[in-house]
Amino acid sequence: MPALQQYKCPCCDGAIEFDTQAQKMACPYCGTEFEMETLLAYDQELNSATADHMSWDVQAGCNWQEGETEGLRVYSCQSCGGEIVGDETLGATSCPFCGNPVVMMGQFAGALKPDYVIPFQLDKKQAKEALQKHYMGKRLLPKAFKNQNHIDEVKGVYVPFWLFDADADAHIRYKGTRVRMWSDSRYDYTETSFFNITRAGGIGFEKVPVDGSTKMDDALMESIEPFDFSQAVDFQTAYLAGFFADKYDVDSQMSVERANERIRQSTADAFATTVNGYTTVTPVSTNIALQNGVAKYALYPVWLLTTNWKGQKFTFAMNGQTGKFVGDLPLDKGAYRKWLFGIAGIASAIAFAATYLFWLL
Amino acid sequence: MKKLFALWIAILIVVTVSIPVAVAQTESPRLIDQADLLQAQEEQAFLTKLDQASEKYQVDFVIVTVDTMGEDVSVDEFAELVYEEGDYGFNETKDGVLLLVAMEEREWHILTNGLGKTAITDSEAESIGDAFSSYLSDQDYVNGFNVFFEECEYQINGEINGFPFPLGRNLLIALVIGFVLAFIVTGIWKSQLKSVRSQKNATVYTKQGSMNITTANDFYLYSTVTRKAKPQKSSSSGGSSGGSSRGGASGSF
Repeated sequence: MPALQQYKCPCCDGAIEFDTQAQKMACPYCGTEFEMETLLAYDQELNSATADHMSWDVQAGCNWQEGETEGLRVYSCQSCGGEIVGDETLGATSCPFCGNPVVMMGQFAGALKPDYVIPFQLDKKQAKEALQKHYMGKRLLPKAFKNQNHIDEVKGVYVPFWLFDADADAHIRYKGTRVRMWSDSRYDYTETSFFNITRAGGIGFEKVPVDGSTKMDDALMESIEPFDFSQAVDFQTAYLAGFFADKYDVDSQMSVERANERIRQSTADAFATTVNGYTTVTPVSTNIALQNGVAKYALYPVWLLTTNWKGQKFTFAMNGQTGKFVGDLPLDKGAYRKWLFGIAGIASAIAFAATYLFWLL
Repeated sequence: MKKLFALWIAILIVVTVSIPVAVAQTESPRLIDQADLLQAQEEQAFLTKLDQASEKYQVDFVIVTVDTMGEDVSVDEFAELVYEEGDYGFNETKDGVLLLVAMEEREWHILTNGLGKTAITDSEAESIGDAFSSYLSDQDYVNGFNVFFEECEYQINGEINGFPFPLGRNLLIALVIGFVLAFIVTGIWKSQLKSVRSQKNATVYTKQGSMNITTANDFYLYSTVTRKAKPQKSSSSGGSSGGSSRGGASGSF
């Protein structure tokens, strides 16, 4: 049975959350800040006490049809007693009734405990500012989209990532050519020399992330890379307070292929840079053997912003650590045509004038 | 050379007898169709055209066809001989352009002299040759000679009076440039709207200094040499003859 965790302020008993500016837990009511180390001890205390909470009732009423609750989890808020319904991967959210941040402890218990977490460095305000900046300098973005746009939702989500280490052993053979040209009075000569080039060796990769949540678009998550792993800390549930979090639903076995695909490409690229001095270089055979280390499970901070425009949903993502902001935008077809023909007209006129001047000379 | 000269005289006699046009006897006709490629009517029309243009521009337009050039003589040498023996060319600089077609050898030569050479560079003569030689191959001699005449007239007229502004062509070029540029610029702006892309590699996650190369082997396999004949410089052969600048181009059909 899942249990909820709220962090109560020892000072005023308000629900406290993680403050991205201070990089500490802070009480939004009385302003008191707490060190994460304090919370670690506090966290453990609470974990040991969770047995008491196990008897709390779960409101899976008899009205639910059989199978209907599959994939759903129902929690009751510790502050107001309100019912919180989430899907089976929901790990942290806020209570829809009292707004207090809650963490579903069971989602991160035992083998599900993430190894690392990169705490949010940027807050909601900065995410909204980044969206405005994202709109700037884009001529073909519809003006209406920019001006009348209401962001439906901004949420900070800890996205589950698998981190893979790998040592690659490569043995790559290339065919290289060098071209030499010369002439005598009657002929132009071209000499093409062919070379067999072999490169072998090893290269290591660490913490290659793969999105472990089916809810997150893989391309969107890869677009906001890289995350700086040096700022990662050991996981504590307290970091999740005030944000949304999901647990993984794609296991490491299924994710490793994506990481290896990228590692193979990088290995091939890295070895290709060691082949120099040829006119053309073509790989003939590429053997890359990968030795994967233990996969680590980490939660990375992502701000997700969603909006609807003309019945279409637009999702933006910001790296909660570095601030890298991505998201595809709609094209203003009218403006596109106007600019296309406008530029073509002006450029043609200038080019035509140039040919006329050239003719006069 | 004597043999050639005899041949030339023979041609001249045949021609002057067969076409008793109103050309002064001392002056060689500007169309000599010894190979008999044109019908009498066509011949007459061409001759008039060549005469009129020659008088108008004060540059000789000459077309000569022969069955054969005889042995031991190249097409440019033969053309030069015809030009000299026929005493073609206006003014002291002997301004003129001559097309020689030898049927048995299936070769042609454009000879340019004086203003003719200034107006028609060797590479232009070559492209004129490219334009009409396919007509000769198809035995469409009337159109082939027409192409030669019109192209030469265009160049010589341009040299004397200035070329007309090629409006249509330049407009087309300008439009192509304009649209290519516009597509590039708007393409860049369009690409700014898309920022969601999968990563292709994991290079940023490379362990610092972890790359070690155990084998680096480069060895030579073989070479191939290809040779391509240089584009033959057109036979600008007139060096010795009295300093008159002479040029042209040859080819076969």
